[in-house]
Amino acid sequence: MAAVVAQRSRDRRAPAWVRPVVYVALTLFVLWSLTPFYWMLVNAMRTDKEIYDYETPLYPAHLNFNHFKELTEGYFFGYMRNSGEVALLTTAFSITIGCIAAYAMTRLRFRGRDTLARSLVFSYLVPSALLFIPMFAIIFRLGLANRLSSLTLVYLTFTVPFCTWMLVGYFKTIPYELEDAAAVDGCSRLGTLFRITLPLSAPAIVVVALFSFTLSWNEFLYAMVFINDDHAKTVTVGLTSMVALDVFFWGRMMAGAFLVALPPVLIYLLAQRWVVQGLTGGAVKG
Amino acid sequence: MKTPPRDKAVNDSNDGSDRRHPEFYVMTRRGLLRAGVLVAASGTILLALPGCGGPTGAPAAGSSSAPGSTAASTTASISPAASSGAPKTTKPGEKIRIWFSDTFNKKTDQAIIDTYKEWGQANGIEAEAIVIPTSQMEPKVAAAVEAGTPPNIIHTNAAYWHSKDQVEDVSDIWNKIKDLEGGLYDVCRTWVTFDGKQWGIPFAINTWPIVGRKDIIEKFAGGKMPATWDEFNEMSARAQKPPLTYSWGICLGRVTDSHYNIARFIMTYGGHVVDKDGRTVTFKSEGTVKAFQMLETQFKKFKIIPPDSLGAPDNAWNNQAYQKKRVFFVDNPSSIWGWLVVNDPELAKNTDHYQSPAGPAGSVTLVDNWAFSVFKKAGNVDKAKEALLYFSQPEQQKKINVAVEGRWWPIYRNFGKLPMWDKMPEFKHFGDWIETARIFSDQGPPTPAAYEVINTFVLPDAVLKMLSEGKSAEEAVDWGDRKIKEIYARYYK
Repeated sequence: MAAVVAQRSRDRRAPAWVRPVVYVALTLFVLWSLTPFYWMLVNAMRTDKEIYDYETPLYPAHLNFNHFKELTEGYFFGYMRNSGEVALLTTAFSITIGCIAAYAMTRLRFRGRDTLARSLVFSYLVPSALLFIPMFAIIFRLGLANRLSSLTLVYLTFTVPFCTWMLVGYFKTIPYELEDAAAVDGCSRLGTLFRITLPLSAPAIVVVALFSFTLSWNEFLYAMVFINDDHAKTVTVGLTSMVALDVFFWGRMMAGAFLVALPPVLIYLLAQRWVVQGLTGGAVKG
Repeated sequence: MKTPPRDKAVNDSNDGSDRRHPEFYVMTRRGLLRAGVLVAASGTILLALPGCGGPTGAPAAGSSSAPGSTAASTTASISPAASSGAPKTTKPGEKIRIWFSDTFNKKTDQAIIDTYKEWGQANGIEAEAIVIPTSQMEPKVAAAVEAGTPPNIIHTNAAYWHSKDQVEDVSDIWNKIKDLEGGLYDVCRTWVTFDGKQWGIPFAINTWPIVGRKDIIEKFAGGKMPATWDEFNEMSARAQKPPLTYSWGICLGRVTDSHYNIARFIMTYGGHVVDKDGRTVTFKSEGTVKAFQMLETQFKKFKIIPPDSLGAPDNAWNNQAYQKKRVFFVDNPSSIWGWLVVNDPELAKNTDHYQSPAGPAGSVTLVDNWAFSVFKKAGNVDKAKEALLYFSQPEQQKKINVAVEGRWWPIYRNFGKLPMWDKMPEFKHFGDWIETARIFSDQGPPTPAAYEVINTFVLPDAVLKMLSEGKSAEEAVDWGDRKIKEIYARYYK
């Protein structure tokens, strides 16, 4: 028996050339992914003159952290805080509303359920370039212009549909029998949601949380239109403020861009186990 | 039936986790509920923070300015509190909002903010002036106007908004200031006058000189900027070393700066986009064709224009190209010089501003203006006009122009003689050049049609047809003429 298994294993083994090819491909992929970070960091550590020099090496001639220091002198970290607040709030509300809505759509029977489910996708597909003016009119009339809460409110209009839609797919894969068993044991509908469905859906919830966070963190158009006060700007708008007319402060921008990229990257690194599971789960069973 | 792994998470352990699937171990329902409570609590706290739940608690930019800068002026022609002369208490809810594009110079931005604030404090009205990055101005203004909530005063395109009936006639302000301090330059009138009225009040003249390298002129032209385009071509061909360096960083791609560069070039050959009435398209002319032919000569024969200039990357024609020393001459406002003074003093010393070489119709200086307009729908029009009048007074303009440090030229002729200019010899000719300067719409006013020609890139597209698609200069001009006529026909039937 052991001999047969060993023979099958040998038969299945990939040809010798595959491994080097895979490693080369993976190395290229890693380079492809890391080069932007490297380039941001390198330019953040160059002086403005070095950035503009004609013959600039691919590495910094010396370590210069002045651009990072310049960021501390401005309001950059205030922009970061604003973005963080908006992204966290949006994420929290998106998950809460998305979970409840998705549960209702998968477990409750009511008229128009299918239409509602489909309209979720359509509402997500409307581009923000079409919506920003009417949205601004609404926000202004609500007296929310120039407030970060206006951004949270508007971001929810596209994060909630997506989160709900994604969670609907995931909730459908959870056997009804589990909830029936819980009901038999006296668990209420909400109890079932919180005690059975949500814990089983952790990977999907992590994925939608990441989606909401990164989308809110990176959003630019609404943040640009709704917010005027310098101290209420989010970081994406703050970064573009480093372009004055046709003058680009590349060093400062690169330092800022590097710092802006860090939170989503760190969160993805920490949560990647669930991300992979949630995405593949949705892909196979959604 | 095979049960999916997730289903095994139905607990059989005391702590609510499934030990066979460690991925669920850390995400227990209790943990999840705790996290939910935590997030909800955090959200509540964050909402309560001044920066999130309400109007930002932090002071607006510039609000911490020194008291000295906000004291009522004693020497202004019109004092901030025109009626009583004494500061008043701010009336709750009364507010004048002002938006202006960043000026590249923080001291200037602050001076503008302080000037409006000074007026507001003296009149008991909150005057909130906000710097908007140039790239963000158009969508923000469009959204605000569409929502019916524009700011009271905006540094914007008066012609366009006048055509939409959004801006107030400010001829009364114009008439009060036009003759002060040697008078306003003629080009200021051209910039804001339509239908015989003024729809904006300029506060800056943005001059487009040829920014160039002194050492190149010294070495290859005997220390004097070539007088004609032919001489310029010859000097350039000798000086440059392509592909590392090119002489002429003219912008020819699909960006608005290209229109300015090409329009000025055409003007030196006597070509014009429109007639003086601002309605009759006169693009197709011998002058325009000759200018196109010269551009073709520069591009194909002398090869003094970077080939990638057609794609309009900043690297080929604009600030970056000059700052990298890739090109020796560019047709651009003096922001380049401002950057060099701070970041590359050596190149700044080696840089000067020149008038363009001459074509058959002579040399041409192009300028644009920065102007404030009063928006009707913002309400409080009278107060907004008072604020704008105060801002436009010579005393206020003088303070702002001193803060500008050369980024732009003042609107009042006498301010071109301020002592500050003695320290900046690179600007010594600006006053004279502006006296005969033209604007992008050349002979006519900067009408909405003229702006559409800019924004749809007709001129660079016509040049691209010649340089990239192989059409002759005549064919390219003919194509451009048709396109411009189509645009003007929509506005003037």
